[in-house]
Amino acid sequence: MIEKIEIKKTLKAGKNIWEEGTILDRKDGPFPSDILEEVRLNRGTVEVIERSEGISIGDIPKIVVDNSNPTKVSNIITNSNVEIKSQPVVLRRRKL
Amino acid sequence: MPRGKADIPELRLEVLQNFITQFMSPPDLMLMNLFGSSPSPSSTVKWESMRGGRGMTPFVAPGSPSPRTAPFGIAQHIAEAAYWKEKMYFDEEFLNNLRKEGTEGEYLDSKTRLARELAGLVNRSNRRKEWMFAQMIFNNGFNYMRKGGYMSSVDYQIPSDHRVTLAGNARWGETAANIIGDIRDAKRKVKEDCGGKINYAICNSTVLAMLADDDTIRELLQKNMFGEGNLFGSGGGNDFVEANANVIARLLDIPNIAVYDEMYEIKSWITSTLSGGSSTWVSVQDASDFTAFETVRIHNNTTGAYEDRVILSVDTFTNQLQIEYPTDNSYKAGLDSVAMRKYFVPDNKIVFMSTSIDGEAIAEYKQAPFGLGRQYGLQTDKHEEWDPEGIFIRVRDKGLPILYHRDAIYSIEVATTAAASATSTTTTSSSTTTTTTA
Repeated sequence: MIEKIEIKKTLKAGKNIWEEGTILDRKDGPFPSDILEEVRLNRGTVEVIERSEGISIGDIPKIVVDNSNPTKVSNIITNSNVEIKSQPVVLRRRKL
Repeated sequence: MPRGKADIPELRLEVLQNFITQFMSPPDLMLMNLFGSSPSPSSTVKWESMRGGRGMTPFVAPGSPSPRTAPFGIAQHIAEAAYWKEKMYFDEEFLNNLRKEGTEGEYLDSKTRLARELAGLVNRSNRRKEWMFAQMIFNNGFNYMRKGGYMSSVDYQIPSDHRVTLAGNARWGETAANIIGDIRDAKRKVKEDCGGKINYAICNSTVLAMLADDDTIRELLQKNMFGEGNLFGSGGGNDFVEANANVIARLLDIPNIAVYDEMYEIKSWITSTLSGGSSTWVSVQDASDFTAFETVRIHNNTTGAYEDRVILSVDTFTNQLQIEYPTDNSYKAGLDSVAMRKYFVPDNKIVFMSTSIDGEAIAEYKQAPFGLGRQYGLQTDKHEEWDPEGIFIRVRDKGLPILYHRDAIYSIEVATTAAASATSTTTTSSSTTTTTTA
């Protein structure tokens, strides 16, 4: 995950200006989409100067699943970006 | 019957100098003719530049002393003048043809050739001067060789907020492009920072096409809006893009939009064998003027065949060019060559400027003295060789463009060039790079 981006050339998108030498930090808010586009294009206008090694458990928003409703649980799995190799037997189990 | 070379009228110095002065101001080179020139007392050029400078005298109580003031935003700069020269050899066969009697055709051919070669030399020298102006305006500086082979860089210190690159989808031609808004911002920035009114915009035909193809500009130029319906096809169009830049200039209220498509060409010999299908590094005699993301043409001078490759990086220390992928054929050292053509004005930039502030030109060319006679400006001389008999003709010049008002220029990088999409990094390694400006 990108933590810090340094602006190597003064960038302009509409009225937004990011001056050369500015360092954008993820802690100050999400990176502007135009800056992320520059990262993707890799044309020397920005440089990613810090990345985090991995995602810690604390960074992932907690999802509370109510397993009383099998259809609801199934929908959550379908709509999320989680691949389940085996049948989610435990999640489908009804309350005793 | 005259036998010495001194008797050949076409090779007398005053005649050579006359040839040179005939080509002094080539009409196709625009940037070097945009500003004036003056002599510098030494080859170390000193100048002061200004930012802002619209102060106002303060109120003071009657009977109290005047507060002391000094000009704001003044910076002093110092840089060594750049020096460039080259010579061309004319052998005895050519000289004999020049004075052969009774063969009017050959005589005229030789004179024509001499004139053509001299014009070529002068144009090459002037293109170097033009290149320096282009680098100052579009790239904020350039590198050049100093005494002892050291590479220097001159940095004109145009403020970074006057050199903007459009980001993401705001690039011209993309979904969020706002060309008129970007030009308004440029006008306002220059006006607020130095008080100048933008009177010149310079781009090449690639950027003109972006302006002419913009939906907003086209809509405004329709007959039922603010235009006369003459953006295209009414005469006065650009050589490559049919659009008339003057129509856009009137809409944007910029007195001059110069669409400048002049190019320069760099050639160099290959110095070690380039193996087809394997090597991606080309060794050349001099790599200093080649630039990354431009197309280089590799010539087989025996067969006349060639291959084009994009340069990914330039190593000026080892004189090597990295190309995107290997050539299909092999090329021989010392026999085959590479060539690169490039526009003085980049394909993806437009510059707006106010050419004078309060009646003073924002830039100037400083001529520096050179040679034993402290000559100024473009000069030519000759040197005779005894064996093999022949003559060298030399053209040389020394000077530096300087910028007095750093905030009167505003450049926008409006797009990504096609070649720049080839992803890589430039490795211009040189252990002798120094910066000479303050």
